[in-house]
Amino acid sequence: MGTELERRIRDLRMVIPDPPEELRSRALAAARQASGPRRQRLSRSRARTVQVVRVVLPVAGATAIAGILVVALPKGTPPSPPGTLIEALDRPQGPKDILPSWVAGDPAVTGNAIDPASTRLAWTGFSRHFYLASGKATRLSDGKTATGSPTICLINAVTRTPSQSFRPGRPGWISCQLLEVFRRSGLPMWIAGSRRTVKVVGVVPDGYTTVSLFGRSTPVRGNFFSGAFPVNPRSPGLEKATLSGPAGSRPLEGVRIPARPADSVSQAVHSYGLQPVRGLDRPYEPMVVNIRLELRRGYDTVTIGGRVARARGRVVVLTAVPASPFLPLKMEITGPAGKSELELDTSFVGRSHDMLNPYRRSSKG
Amino acid sequence: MPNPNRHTGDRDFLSAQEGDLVAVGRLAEGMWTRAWRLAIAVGATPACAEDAVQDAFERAFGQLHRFPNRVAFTAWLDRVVVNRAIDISRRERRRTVKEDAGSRALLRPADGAPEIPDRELLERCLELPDQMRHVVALHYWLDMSLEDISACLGVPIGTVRSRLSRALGRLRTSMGVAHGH
Repeated sequence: MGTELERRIRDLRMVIPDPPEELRSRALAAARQASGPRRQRLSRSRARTVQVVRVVLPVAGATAIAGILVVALPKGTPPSPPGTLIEALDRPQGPKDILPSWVAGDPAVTGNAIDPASTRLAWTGFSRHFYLASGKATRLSDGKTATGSPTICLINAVTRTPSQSFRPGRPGWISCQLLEVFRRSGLPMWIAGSRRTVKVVGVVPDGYTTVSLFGRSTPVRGNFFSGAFPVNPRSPGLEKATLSGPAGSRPLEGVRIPARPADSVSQAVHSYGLQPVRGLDRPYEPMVVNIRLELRRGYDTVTIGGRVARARGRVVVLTAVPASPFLPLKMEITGPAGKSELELDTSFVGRSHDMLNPYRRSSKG
Repeated sequence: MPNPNRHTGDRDFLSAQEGDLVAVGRLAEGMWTRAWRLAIAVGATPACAEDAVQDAFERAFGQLHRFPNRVAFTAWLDRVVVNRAIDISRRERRRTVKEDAGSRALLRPADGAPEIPDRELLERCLELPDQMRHVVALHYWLDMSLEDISACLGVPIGTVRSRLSRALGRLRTSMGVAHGH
């Protein structure tokens, strides 16, 4: 029976599924990226200069094709390991730093290729845990960025399990930024709040100790800051945060915070690509974004570029909205309560994804 | 000593060692599918297998210059993939419920995939202890020699042989018992 058994075992090899095509680009990008430092070492040798030129020329060609998005990136700065920009990620991982299983297994988290060993609890507040993590770009968010490029991610999850949460449909979300973009722009922040305050959190590179917003300052601790800033009812405009510290002073780019978000919108999430985001899982198209807004009472209509969308319940989902990586997306929110304006940053290298609620999902199934 | 790469005609490996990214791409192109199969064979879920392959490629290709030839590099890459897949799967298993364990995913073929021909035997294989299952999968599904498995898993060849023997014994027994019923 031995030979027959072995033959039958061999026949079972067909159960191994074919690899996903996406893995090919991830694996190749990983291989090329890992070969990078070797390339730099070789460049010191004159005898190998020609070899380096052979390598650089195709890269330069690809860069030219990539167009203005790539031109906007810092020149000649190879990707750095996360530790050189986020000191908070360098400390040892403790039990509190590990993502709860319902978060770690969420498609929004796995879809961003989060390294489970990299997660660090940055802060607990606003009824949420906020984690920093390093991940990998798994989708061509700008149509050009190589998958596998390192990213910095901010994950938030309700402190209670979703089954206990008073908001079971939205237990958390994740926002990721390419490391090389994070270096100059920080990580997009959470925008939410009550009618009297705007709640903001964010991640900044090493070297900054204070964030100023709405005329107030909040300290940066472990690359993370948070604050509940009072709403100025007289300020209809937008605010930009300013970073300061030993590394200097500069605006925290990539997000503009509406002075009165509580008037019309309680939360805004935008997404690119095929990520399994509930309601946003539409095919990727370059230069468009999918948006989900949760409106406050008294508001029921969103207008973007002449396109009008009505809320179902309090939620408005807009897909394939034309957007620019350089200009915020302006929208008007109206309803019986009045009119409000909101601007969303749509930087094409940053992404935000809702988490699914496993309890709600299973109950549907 | 002759350079084995010249005899095999594998110029990509040498060029990749010199930093030629096109050659690196070609080299990786020929390896990623096998890496995936290796990761799945040792019980990784598709998601874990993807992570394991990507991690392994990052690690292995960063050390490309240390290897004398492609054969040695491939053996090292196999080892890294298998170890990463096992590590990631273990970690994942601690996080998820037992029924979602990676190897069980093989019992749920994708849409459009052909039916599993010998489901009962597959279930018995998947029920083997990890160490035995790895040897069986690498030997029969990946056609790896016992020597290669020994190098890949970092255990003596005698251990590999005995694990395989014990695994086959268990399978014979369990299948016989099952048929007896």
